[in-house]
Amino acid sequence: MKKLLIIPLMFLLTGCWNYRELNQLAITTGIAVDKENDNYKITIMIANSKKSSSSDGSITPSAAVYDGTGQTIYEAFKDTSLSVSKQIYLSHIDVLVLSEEVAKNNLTDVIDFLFRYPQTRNNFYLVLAKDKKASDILKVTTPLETFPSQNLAKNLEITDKLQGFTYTVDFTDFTKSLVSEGINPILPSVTVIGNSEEGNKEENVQQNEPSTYLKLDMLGLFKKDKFVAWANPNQSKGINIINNKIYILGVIIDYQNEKIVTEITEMKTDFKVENNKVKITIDTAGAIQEVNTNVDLYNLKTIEEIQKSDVEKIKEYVNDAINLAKDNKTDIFGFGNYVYKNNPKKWNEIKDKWDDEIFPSLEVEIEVNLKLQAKGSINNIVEVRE
Amino acid sequence: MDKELGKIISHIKEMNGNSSDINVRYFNIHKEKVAFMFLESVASDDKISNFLGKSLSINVRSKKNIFENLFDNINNTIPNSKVKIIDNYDDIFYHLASGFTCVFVDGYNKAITLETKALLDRSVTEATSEPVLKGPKDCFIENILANMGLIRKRIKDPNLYFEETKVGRRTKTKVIIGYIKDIADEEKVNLLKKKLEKINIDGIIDSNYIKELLTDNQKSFLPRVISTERPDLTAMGLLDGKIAIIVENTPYVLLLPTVFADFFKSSEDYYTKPFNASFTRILRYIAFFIAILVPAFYIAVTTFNMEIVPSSLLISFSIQRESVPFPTIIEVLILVISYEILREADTRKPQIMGASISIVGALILGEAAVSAGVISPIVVIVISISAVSGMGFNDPDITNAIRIWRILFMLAACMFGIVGIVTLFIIFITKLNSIEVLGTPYLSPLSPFSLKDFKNSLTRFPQQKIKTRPSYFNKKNINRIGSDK
Amino acid sequence: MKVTNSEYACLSSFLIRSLFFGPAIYSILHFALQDGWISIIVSFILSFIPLIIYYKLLNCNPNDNIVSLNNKLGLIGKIINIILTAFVIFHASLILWNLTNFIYSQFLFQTPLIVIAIIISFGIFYVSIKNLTTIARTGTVFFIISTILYFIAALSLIGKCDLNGLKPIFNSGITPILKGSFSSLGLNIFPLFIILIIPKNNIKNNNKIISSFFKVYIFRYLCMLSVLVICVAILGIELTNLYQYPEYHILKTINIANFFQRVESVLSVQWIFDAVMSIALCLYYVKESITKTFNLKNKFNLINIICIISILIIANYIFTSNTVAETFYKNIYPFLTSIFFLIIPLIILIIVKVKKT
Repeated sequence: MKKLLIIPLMFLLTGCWNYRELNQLAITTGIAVDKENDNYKITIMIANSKKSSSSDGSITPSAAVYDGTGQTIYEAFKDTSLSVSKQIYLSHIDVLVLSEEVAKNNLTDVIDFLFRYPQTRNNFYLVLAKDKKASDILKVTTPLETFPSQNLAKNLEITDKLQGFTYTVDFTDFTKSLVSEGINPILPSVTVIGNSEEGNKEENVQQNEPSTYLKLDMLGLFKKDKFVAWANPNQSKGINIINNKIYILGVIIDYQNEKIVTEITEMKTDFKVENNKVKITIDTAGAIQEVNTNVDLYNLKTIEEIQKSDVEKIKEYVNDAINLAKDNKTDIFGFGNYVYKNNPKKWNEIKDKWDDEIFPSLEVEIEVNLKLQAKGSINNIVEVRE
Repeated sequence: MDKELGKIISHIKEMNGNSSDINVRYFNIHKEKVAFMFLESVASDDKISNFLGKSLSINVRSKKNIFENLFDNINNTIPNSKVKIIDNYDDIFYHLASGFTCVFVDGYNKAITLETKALLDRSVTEATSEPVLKGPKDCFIENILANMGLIRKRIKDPNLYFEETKVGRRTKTKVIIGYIKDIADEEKVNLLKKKLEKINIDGIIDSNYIKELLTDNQKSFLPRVISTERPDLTAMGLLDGKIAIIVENTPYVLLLPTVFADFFKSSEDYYTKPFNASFTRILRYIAFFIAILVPAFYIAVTTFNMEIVPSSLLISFSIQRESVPFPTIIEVLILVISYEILREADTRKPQIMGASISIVGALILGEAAVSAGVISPIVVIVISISAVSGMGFNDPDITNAIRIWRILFMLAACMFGIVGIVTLFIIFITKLNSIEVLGTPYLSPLSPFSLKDFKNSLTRFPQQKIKTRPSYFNKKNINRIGSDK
Repeated sequence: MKVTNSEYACLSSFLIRSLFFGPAIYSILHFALQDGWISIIVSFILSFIPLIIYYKLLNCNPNDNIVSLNNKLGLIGKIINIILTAFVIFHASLILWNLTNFIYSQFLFQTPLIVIAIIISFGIFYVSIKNLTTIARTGTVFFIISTILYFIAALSLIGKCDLNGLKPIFNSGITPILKGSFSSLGLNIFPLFIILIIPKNNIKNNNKIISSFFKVYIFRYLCMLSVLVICVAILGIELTNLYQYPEYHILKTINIANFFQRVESVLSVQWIFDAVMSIALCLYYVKESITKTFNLKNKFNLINIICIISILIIANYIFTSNTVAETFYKNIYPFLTSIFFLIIPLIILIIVKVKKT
């Protein structure tokens, strides 16, 4: 009998505080942060589901973009919610786009808010917006996906594995490299090809070839928490090689004035830092994928020469990357982290001078072991005969 | 009892208010009056005329008396297998109502009763409520002796004891306790007998009455006693060390003590390959938890903890929710209640009404409600999964228990989300653990953990590997394979 | 009311892990930084001292639990009993605070704290009014479920471990490591004293207690060690120190085959089970102690109701802010447990030995 008394009591305590119906939520899939006259401008992309009068099971989501400004990130979010008829819900963010200006000055404010808010799950990707405002990037419509933010996220995931010169960064990883000693973070960037005003409209995707689309672009280097430089494709490849993030890489060499492409499928990089000297060891294996000249692939000497040229090319990438980092005085590879982990006493002495003085003067020695495993499906080139 | 024949007969007729089914026939044997009385409704005319009439008329014709008095004469010459001598009116009426015929001799204050029961029961047919594909298909009927026979012919061990009591002041129903003497636990049998003696009720109509009266001190929604219609399941239970209670006039035999794992076994498991049987058993456990938890999980996930759902699924859920006016909990409750009403209607309808109710039900719960915008399609799927999972058990008690727990979990989820489900789950497990049937914990072999008993609970190992009987029922005579110790 | 030896071991394992989930991992990592795993190993070695004391107390008088043992010592014993009971209530309210804080910050962050505490208290109240055999059996079931969830979590995360995150080794020096072990001892091992409420004769097969207890004990220690190592290896020490509940946050990173993701809410249920079972055990201790010391009868479970309400009130109003709580758990509480759960049992042991001779 006593147990029955509990039930009406429980109805009094109904958790109306946290009870939210799904259609009251504005599910945010992408956020863009800009800076406008010392104020933050936040643009969010919401999955908009219109109320249809006769629900016949056809699901037509569409994206809606709202923005808001404020002096802190929190205020900017609250300002955004003034124009949305639903409650903003941040657990399903796919991507966060930062504009260059925010990346140069106020990165930690953005990071702090998102890191602290319990709803965000910290597994979304960060990108920089190159040459454009971040909100423009979020507004471009895409033919393959309904939500441009999802498009961007999937693009990042796939090219990460296939290209070798982009670098997909998770929010947790980014913050980890921010707070760790002796390593500085990197971010990929994205840009709009075509007219961004046109890109905002539906007609953009109704043509066969959209006139405005998004494209992944160069990597951006950071020093501590400020953005300092862009890296060109070769340097980006080098950065990825040293950071052990290559899944597939295409190495293009000149041989007898024509190009041969070797596709690297395995790459493992190790480095050791001792006494102002860095020794990088790279173990790779690859296959020849495209041959544009008349060479005889049965000849052992040819293969050896191709192998040597490949090795030289890889060393060139790595050296480009290190020189870029040295010029900008930022250690993005984690050499300092290595010193910290293996020799903490020495690190304590030199950690203030690492980025500016010691790192730029490190000697670099690279050793590459390349194994040309295969030549594709065919053994030699396609010889054209009469 | 009186000695005079007329008084005896008039007394009995008065006891029963001169009922229309009392019949009396008078004989005159060597100038002594003999009468026999029977109740036409329960006694069989053929048997009476065959045995009794013929033997008494032989007695009339023979001139010699072997015995001194007529009473002993009749007692020793009647060709019937069951003859008893009774000397008080209550017992006489009990035997009359059981279909016996009473023979009275003028001048003696005792009566001779013989068995002449009419066949008022159906014959042994196929089981209706617990069907099995490959295995014996006979089932218990309402005749207690036939039920005992179905068990006795499967276990021919002399250690199979059947002990009889009568329960119920007015119905005086026969209740038989059956157990194998050197396997079942003595304490449990004695405890059971004491409990049966304590029952003080006016009538026992069905074995369910005894089930309730034996287990009324612990309130729980889940069943604690198996009631089965199949003799092979009963025989298996007896060999495991359980105690069977057979009640007159009902085909459902009770098996005590029961554990939770017993409700997930069916006799079909032993008639197919062990691997298939294990797979099916594990499926049943999963189905039980799906049936209880899925609607609650759906409510919790779409109202409190949305971060569990992946993005694209969440977006499609929210689109479906747009078109529904009610909150999620009301939606799910509407569907659950209408499904339960439908199920009840389906069970009770006579065959004539046929398929129309099912069609109407499918229409209600299906397309029409979704198209009218009353509920969303995903809720229909969730409730159908839960409902279908809940029906895979051969005991309707479990299905009813699932019903109640499902609603309780839904209420907990709609108030507090996953935290509510977890709290109610803690209460659920604690409640299951506090049940003890005749001294056996309800969640054996999980709760007092015993790894070797898992062979026959969670999975079914091949017969060669199940070497011991369940240790939570009995402690002696453990070995099945090899010699009994 | 008999309990088997494996159930006894399972019940004790809840007491070990109940405070590991928030405060202990926080204080170990704040003192010893990335050498937290060495702290745990050191505390494992040091934990034999209190375990020997508790085992001797268990063997003192096989028919008595700790409460009736104290009652036999006269007036001093009764005073010790009252003090210990009050401290056990305090300990239970700290566990409840920790659990409520976790649920508040991650799941229901708009519900007031007191409401969350009331919901959990329903579950705890229902478990604690049952008798000891039911609590023990419930403990076994929850132990099995917790272990399965732990293995799922650990196996999904092991692929992402990068043991370089544990370097530099021995960077912090010996003193922080010892401080970390002391807080681990204080928060995890000393509460094992509460399991002494079960007399030795109520345990079946009581000659096998040591072996089954040690199996479960070592297993739980390995669990704690591996959780710490995985946290630091995946997130790095700086980030782990930044998070309030790092174990919950690494569960957020599980992503197998793009299908088994977003499971942190389900896998974190194991901590709720641990906390609820240990609070229920504390309540059982309090009920036994009050009934035996003052010779009262527990009508309508009144003692349980009063205790639950007092635990609720204490847990809600004890800490004014989160930072106060963190400092308390890290600096003050290990000392408190060492006084009440180590020195007082030592005193009891000495008095008993003196009385025997």
